[in-house]
Amino acid sequence: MKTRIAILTSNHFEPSGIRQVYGGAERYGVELTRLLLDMDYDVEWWQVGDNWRKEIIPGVPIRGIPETETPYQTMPHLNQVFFEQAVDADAAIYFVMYLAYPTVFPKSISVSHGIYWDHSGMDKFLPNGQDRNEWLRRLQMAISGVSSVVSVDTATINWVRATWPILAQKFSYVPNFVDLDAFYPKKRHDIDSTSTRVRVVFPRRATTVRGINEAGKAALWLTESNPDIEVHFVGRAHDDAMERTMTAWAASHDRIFYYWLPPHLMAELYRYADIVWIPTKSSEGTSLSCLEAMASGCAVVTTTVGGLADLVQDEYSGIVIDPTARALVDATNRLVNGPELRLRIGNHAREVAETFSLDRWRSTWARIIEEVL
Amino acid sequence: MSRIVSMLPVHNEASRWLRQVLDQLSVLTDCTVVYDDASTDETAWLCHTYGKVRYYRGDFPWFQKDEAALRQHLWQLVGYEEPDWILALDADELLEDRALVELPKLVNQNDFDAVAFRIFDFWKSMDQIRIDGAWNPWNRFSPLMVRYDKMLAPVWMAQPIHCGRFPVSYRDRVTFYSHLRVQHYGWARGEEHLSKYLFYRERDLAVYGHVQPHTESVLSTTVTLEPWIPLASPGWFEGKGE
Repeated sequence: MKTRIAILTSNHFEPSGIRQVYGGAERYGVELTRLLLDMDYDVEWWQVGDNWRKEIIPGVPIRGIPETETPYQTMPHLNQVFFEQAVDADAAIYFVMYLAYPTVFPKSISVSHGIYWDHSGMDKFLPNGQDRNEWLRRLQMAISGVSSVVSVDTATINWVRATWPILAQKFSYVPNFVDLDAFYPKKRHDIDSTSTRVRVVFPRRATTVRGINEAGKAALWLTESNPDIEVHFVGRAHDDAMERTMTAWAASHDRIFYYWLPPHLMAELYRYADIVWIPTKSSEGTSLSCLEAMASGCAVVTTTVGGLADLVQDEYSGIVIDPTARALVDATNRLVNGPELRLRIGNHAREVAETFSLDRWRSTWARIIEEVL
Repeated sequence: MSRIVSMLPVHNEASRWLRQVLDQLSVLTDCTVVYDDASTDETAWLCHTYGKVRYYRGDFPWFQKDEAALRQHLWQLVGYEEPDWILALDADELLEDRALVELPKLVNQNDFDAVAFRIFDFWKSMDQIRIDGAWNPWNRFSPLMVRYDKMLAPVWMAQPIHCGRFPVSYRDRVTFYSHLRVQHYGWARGEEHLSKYLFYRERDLAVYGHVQPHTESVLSTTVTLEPWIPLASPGWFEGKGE
């Protein structure tokens, strides 16, 4: 009989089960599922949801648990229902670190997708010292309980090392990945040397933490001032109203586009792009979008938030800015007016991306799973 | 390349949007299977002018009695064409123009088995859409394309109307929610609203015992409209960026 691995996440789909969340963590979940299947495990997922059952990828179930409460930024009720429902599993993966509170399977791994407590909204959820201490206590328990924690970036590990030094040894740094066979630079013969058009892509969800407002403002300034620039916003929003707004907004401006794509078409998009914006303001790990853009030889403009500093060295493999519209415009204009700079950074980015290969990620994860099991 | 087959139930569509729909499907798909539900107009002739259309005709109207049975029969006919993917549109629905280059790119992958779209109801015109209440296209997606799987039971929901476009077994497939929009012209002609209202009213009474609020809203005097915004496809879809 196959070994069974149960995975608990918060939202792969929205709790209604209708809308899929299209972020890097969700794509990470799909890739992790594929790895586990290739390792010949049975895999089943759980998340917040109204008792529905769906598939996360064809043939792999994901079940909804109707527990939505998040006291102190944790989900103890979800955790406990999962513990009961997945009781036959041989091991568990807690796909978000705090989901491993208060109970854990004896053989278990949790995943940190990056620091998410670095945005100003945290003060709303944890408004005083007492609440913050309780959140920390729970997070400490969650980290203590699992066999191992996989962190996509070094920022999280360093935060833990500074906060609870003894817990840092639980962590393994397994940065995010890029499929180098799918994401590669455009071929030399495909480059139209007569074209002056420069394509900028914002390949993120249209959310504030990803810098959508700064990017929107920068797109207006750039397209109005330079007829050779076009800007593509490629990613879903958190809600329908925002998608409606983005659609109308983009349509009302020349050379600004808004749409989204399934993962298998993103590689084509990056080969079309010259400059990619990753102007994250908070809650970032080692962004898949950033890695894919780098592997595709694009000149990335990004920030130092979360794990981005693990990926991009300023002026070598990308341009690092503060997440403001002005800084985005200035960096973009430098790259637009300096095709040699663009090419050099893009070439270095590809070299750096090669150290984040999907193959390497899979073999590191496989080793950790085998150690825990 | 995956083989896309479309399925299209029709009934007296010659003077409506059938020509535009078949023009589009001839570009988008490898084959269109049409089931003509006893049309008495030029629908048959029109269908026969398209090389990619497989035309079947029933002698007695079926849709008004049992839509599920009609769709189940049509599904069986589509299966003869050995599709990889099946696109289920109605004869008054068109995908927006940018789908012509974008849709075929969606199917060659193993990440999902269905594609859902937002359907926009054009209201008494060809340039504005209705967005109030249950007409709001922005908060719902409809799966209109699925990967064909011979192993799944071809059984429809036992309901004579609004029975879905695919067998029950195709529900909850892993779905990609596309930005591509479907233009539904079924309500674009205001002069048809009363007759359509009466049709759905009668069906509601037969099925539910009362008239559904959505049906009642057809004749509402207060509707919210917004302009339809045509959107161009970014150049890279057409290979202009390579």
